[in-house]
Amino acid sequence: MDDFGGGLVAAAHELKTPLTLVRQLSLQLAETKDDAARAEIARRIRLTSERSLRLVDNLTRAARLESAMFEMEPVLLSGLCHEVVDELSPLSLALGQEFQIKVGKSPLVAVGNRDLLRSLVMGLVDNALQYNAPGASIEISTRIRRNEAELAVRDHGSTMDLAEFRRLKESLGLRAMPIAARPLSSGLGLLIAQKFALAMNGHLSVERHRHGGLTFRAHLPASQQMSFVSAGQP
Amino acid sequence: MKILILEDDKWFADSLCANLQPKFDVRVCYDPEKFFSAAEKWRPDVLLADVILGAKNLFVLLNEMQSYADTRTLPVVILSTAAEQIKASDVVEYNVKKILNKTEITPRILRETLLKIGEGSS
Repeated sequence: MDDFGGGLVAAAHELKTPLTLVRQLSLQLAETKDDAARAEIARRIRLTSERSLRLVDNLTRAARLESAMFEMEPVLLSGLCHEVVDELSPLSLALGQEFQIKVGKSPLVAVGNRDLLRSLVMGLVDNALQYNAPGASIEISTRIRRNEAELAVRDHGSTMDLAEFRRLKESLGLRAMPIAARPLSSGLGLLIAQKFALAMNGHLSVERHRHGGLTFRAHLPASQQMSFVSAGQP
Repeated sequence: MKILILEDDKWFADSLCANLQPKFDVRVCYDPEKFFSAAEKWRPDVLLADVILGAKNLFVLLNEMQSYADTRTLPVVILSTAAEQIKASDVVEYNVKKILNKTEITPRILRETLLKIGEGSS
């Protein structure tokens, strides 16, 4: 199968799960009389639809990436983390999960395109929400290392065996790859996130944790313009 | 009639449960690792299960079910988005009575199917 065909299959797979859920919830809605239960079902339909729309937006953006010109600018990572968490809070609340943001005291600024970077982080956090253990937190942290600004998203999903982890690591950003331990995904979201990172002269990496879960890390060029931040600009 | 739902998508499982509860006694198992203890304690009449269940897929579980006396004869209904890829002849030896497509099933058909299978096994 060529790249185009492979991409279509991955996109279809990725959208099938939420669409099936929306269909099921709407069938349930038709049979439910209790107002409070109906309101909860409607909320779940809305959150599931919004999640699918985010994927469709990112797919469109990724497809246009090569021909598009986008502005690179200093972006304060802590502000971006809070923005993403605010937006995904209704979903995390509905899934019974919580966020922990760990950012250092000194402001960390990356050079990137604000919209792409936001989509990238949204993609990583959304991915974590899907696989995190119920009740566990998702940790979002930033640090500077070897002149790179790093933003990490750690989930507490199931343990991944070494062979599968190696496959994931090797394919990260090269192609969509279904992950057996993470069955709701075709890996397309990670492929898109890697494309966004590469477009901003960065890249993604992944590490696994012995007691379960993964950390995905976006490595981006760090901005030296700290005065820009202290001057009060975003 | 007792139906055990094995489904790792919590919202989907909760929704199925709501569809079935007026007619059946329903419990949900979100984690395949906890299936055997749930089956042993509760003794369901039918297992309604998705295929892809985190790190463990249903076929591994079906194989294991065949090795225990109390789960060997438990009728299984598969409910999957990949139903068209599963051949009934490949899973009949695991006591799979029906393969249903998640993208097409309605609550009424699901209830009728489970009722028929449950009655047939009792």
